[in-house]
Amino acid sequence: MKNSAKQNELLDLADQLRWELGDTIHDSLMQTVYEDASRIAGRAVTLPAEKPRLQWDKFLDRLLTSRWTGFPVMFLILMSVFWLTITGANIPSGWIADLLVDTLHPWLKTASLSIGFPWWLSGFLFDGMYLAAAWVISVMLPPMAIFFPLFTILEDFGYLPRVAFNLDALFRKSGAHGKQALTMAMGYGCNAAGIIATRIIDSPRERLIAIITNNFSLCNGRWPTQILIASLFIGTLVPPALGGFVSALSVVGVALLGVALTFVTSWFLSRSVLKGTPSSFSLELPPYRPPRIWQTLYTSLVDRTLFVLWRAVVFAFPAGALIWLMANFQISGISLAEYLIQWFNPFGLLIGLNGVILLAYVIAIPANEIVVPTILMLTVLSAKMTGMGAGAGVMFELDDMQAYQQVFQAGGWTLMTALNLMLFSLVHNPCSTTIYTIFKETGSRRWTLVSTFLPVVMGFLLTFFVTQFWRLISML
Amino acid sequence: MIHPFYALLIAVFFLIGTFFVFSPGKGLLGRIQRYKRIQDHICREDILKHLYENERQDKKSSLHSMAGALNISTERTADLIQELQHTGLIQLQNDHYILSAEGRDYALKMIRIHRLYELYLSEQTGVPEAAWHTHAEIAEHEITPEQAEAISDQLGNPRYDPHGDPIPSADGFLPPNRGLWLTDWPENEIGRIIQIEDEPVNVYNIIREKDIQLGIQIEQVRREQEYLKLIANGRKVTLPLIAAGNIRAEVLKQAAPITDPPARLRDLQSGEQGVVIALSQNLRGSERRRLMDLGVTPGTIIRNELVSAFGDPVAYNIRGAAIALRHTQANLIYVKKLGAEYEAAS
Repeated sequence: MKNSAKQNELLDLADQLRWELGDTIHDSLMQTVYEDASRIAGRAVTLPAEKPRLQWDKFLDRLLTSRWTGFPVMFLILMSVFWLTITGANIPSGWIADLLVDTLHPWLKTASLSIGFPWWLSGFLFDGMYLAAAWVISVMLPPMAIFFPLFTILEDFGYLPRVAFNLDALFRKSGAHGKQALTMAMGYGCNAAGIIATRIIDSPRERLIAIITNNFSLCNGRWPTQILIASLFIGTLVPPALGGFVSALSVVGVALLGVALTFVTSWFLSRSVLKGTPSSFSLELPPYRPPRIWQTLYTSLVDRTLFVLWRAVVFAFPAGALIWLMANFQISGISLAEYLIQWFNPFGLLIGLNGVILLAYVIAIPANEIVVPTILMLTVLSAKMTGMGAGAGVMFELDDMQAYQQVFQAGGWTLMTALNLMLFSLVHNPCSTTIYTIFKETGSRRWTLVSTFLPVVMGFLLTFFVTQFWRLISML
Repeated sequence: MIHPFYALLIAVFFLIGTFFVFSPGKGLLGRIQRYKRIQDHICREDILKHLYENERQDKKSSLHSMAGALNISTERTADLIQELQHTGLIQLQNDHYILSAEGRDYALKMIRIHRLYELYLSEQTGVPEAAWHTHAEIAEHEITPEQAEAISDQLGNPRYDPHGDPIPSADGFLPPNRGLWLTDWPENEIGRIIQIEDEPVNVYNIIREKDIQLGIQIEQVRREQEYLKLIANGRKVTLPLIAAGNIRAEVLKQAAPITDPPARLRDLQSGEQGVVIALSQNLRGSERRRLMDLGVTPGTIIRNELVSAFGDPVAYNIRGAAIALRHTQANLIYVKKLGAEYEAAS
């Protein structure tokens, strides 16, 4: 009894003393912890004399972060990474497509029919599910297998934090974190990987901004669409000698518009919905070190490339199935896809696209890679073209430009349609792999919905205004 | 197909309409929220708070003072007062109203929620300082006592809010004020600011403009007519009496006078070193903890290591690691510059 009375007395005293301690007690505790730790470390640890290596570090830092040399070097390095990725990926992409699409697909079809599969089962399995997954792998795997290791090597060397350091001033003005430069660059490879990379941003508000705006980095599933449409419609506006240059320029223009939208959207988000989210800044500049090539190759291939590819393939199977079913499931002689195209058409035309493109974007939510093959298949289907493609629900690509133009003409495309498609390909909802990744990373339905619907609404507005102004001006 | 001119017109009207509904504060949604704020139960609670504040400052509360403070008509105030008298929360004494024991309890519970919520906003969210009070004014009517206890637990059962006001305990205990009002300050004492009233807002803004914060050292306080002259953190400051009367400080027994305003980390030129003296109290929440985790504590030696291409941020050498900080952060860290001889000696 006596003990508990004493205890209570003590607790009361502690309670009373807490009022007198004020609110700086935690700071003081922290300070003494550090003082003790550095005293002990000072006694026990001997530091080697400053090595010449640090001089080399200092020289590199001056070169890479000075105003006059920093930006040209950054530009050169990033451009060569992109160039290596785009040109280097073409060849293995072709091989994989040859193997999976041109060789294995017909073989699977014949084999399945010869062992007695009904036509609908082999169509559903191989024209639908298999073909979609094969397409995703052949377009997605090679660029990622080149881009991610290169990027990881730069990161491992210690260069990427310097890029964030240099560019932070720009991002600060839009309420974002300098490290967003890195997640953006990663997004050019794949948005899902870019969103996983936002883990490096430890401030909650800036991380959400980076996640929501990553979609404005054109991912490698969208580059081929941009390049194809630009060379078909914009490159042909000028003499053939200039065609390649002008279409490249227009693709770069779209990518730069993406950068501008990233800044504008970041600015808007940090001043509206994300105003109350906590924010802090710190950026460590690690010492330079020789990159560990083999380890880098392993981690970037396994952690990034295969991880993302696996998710994409998992989503591609149901998408392929859906595409095939829509094209083959008929109600009184008209396929489901055609009904939907009719239904989407009025809104599609209002924003300068058409029902085929909108339907393609809806069923290609699982992967942007299959947008163009789906558009081709649906156009052929709805325009009742013959001698083109391989049947209802079978996605295909074409070999020469004239064949493309023939299909698009049949679909009623104009220069305006092409421009709007390029814009909408930049500004629309993320693919389902990315949406799922956003949900995994944020753990929040709300932010997943915002990141999904904000870009779609922006895309609709952008294409709507471009279309209506275009029509208004061409009337004058 | 619809004529593009009409299409554009309809779209622009649609966008303007959306803006009117959703624009923060001024939009339709904002207006509805504000309208809710003058509902009866909220006004009743505000009357209790008003009475409590007046009693603490030995001021008398009349019908008119309450109607004025709440910005509602005297008729409505009279109705509300009558209801409060019926429920036994307030009483009429001579010509003014006072709180009953239950009424005081009720008011303290609300003040507890208000201050806890302000602390929560300052520590765990990015809501700017100017908006804390407004948010807390709404939250105090909505947060239940159970939620308040959860917030208190989450914050480690704090005793003071971000303005240095004590937070009443859950059983309604509020300690007597610490320190003295600056207007009563003895001229030759050195002290430390421990409390700044955040109401009324315009007076609080004067104090903020003069860069007076919690935790800074004050000395040589002299009264000159309508003003109070003092040295705050080595800097000469002139404060209107109305502002000085909203600041409390406690006496520091063993403190050396600060003759010059201390340098900030931001003032270090490339290659210069400084030793950290203090972190400003305006460095809060996750930002403060992050810096302290990195080892930015009083006594740490920091060197300006590398300036980025645009000049901001700057990388500092903190305990052997190069950490880039922005100017806004480096401005909140006070340092003492170490000269060249220090570099030679080490």
